[in-house]
Amino acid sequence: MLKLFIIFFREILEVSLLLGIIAAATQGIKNRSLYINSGIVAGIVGSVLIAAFANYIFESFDGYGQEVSNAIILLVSASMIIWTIVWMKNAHCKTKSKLLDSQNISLLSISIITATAILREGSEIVMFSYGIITTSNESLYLLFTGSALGSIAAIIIGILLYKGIITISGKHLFKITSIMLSLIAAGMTAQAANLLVSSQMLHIYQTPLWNSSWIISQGSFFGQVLNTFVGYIDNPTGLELSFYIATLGIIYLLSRKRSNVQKPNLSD
Amino acid sequence: MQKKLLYLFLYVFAFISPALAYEKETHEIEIKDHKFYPNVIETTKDKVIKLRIFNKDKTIEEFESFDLKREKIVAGNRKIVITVGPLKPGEYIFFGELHPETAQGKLIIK
Repeated sequence: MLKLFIIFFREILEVSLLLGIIAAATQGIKNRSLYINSGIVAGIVGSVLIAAFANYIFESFDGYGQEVSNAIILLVSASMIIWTIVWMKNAHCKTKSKLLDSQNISLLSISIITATAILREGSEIVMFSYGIITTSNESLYLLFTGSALGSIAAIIIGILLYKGIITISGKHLFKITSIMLSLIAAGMTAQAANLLVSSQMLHIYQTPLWNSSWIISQGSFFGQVLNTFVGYIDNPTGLELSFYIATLGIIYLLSRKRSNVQKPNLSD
Repeated sequence: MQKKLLYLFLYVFAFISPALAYEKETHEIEIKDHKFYPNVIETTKDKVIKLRIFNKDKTIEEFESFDLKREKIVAGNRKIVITVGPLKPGEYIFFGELHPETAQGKLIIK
């Protein structure tokens, strides 16, 4: 039971923290809960489907289907986060402090971010739970309690993060959430780069640039939380660092361009 | 500008490590009762190492290593392949993320 608690807590915490930030970033947008909720449903359905067809998916791409599909999920997720940051900056320039009107296409990106966040860990959780239910000697009641408590604890931390960001950032909510989301997106593309290496598609810049595991190990709880928030890797390769920096660069350039375009509007 | 681009190109090209040029080696690892057999693998540096992992348990496991930068699910009674390297001498720890208390192993490069 304790084991299930820990595994569910750890796997769901990452999703829950990301959703907390997304929920804070989209605060004040009409119908945003609808888009977040439909993303959650799509993510859960998708996770079950991936788990059901896992053997088929994993054996594709010469046995590297898992790496390839995870890389695609991460890259889609990161692009949608970038899109959301740029779009929100644009919308903020237009409306200033007014509440944002819902724009269906842009809000769809929020659903996709939510769904992909769940997909990343979801299929693993489904496969793991299925295995435990069919093989464990413990009673189903205990197994269910352990996993439910782990999930609830992780979700509560996500909600606390959401409330915390809104309370602390106040007027600077948009700026703070944009920075947080930019770092998360950069971490995702760095991770995707490594998955492309794992799948034998890329072979460049593979020497680790440094090793800071003696300060913060990526395996420690703090290291994992840092990994979720800023994409912390204790021994990054040149390729991972390049993807990380390039992503931040792209976000900076796109946001700058958009705000230049908006200048005439501001002077109206 | 053109000169700069040429330098950039050369710089990028110099760092591309053609993995094909390295010697290849395959090692088999079994997972049984949430443990790796063998749990220590020794080899020499500058090789591309293929790890074939066969999970003989009914439950899924996730092969994970921060040192090797790999993370891969292996379903019950299934096999996966992980390719790493070329690696520098040292110890590279790996573990089963879903049973870290028992599933531990390391790759030693000399």
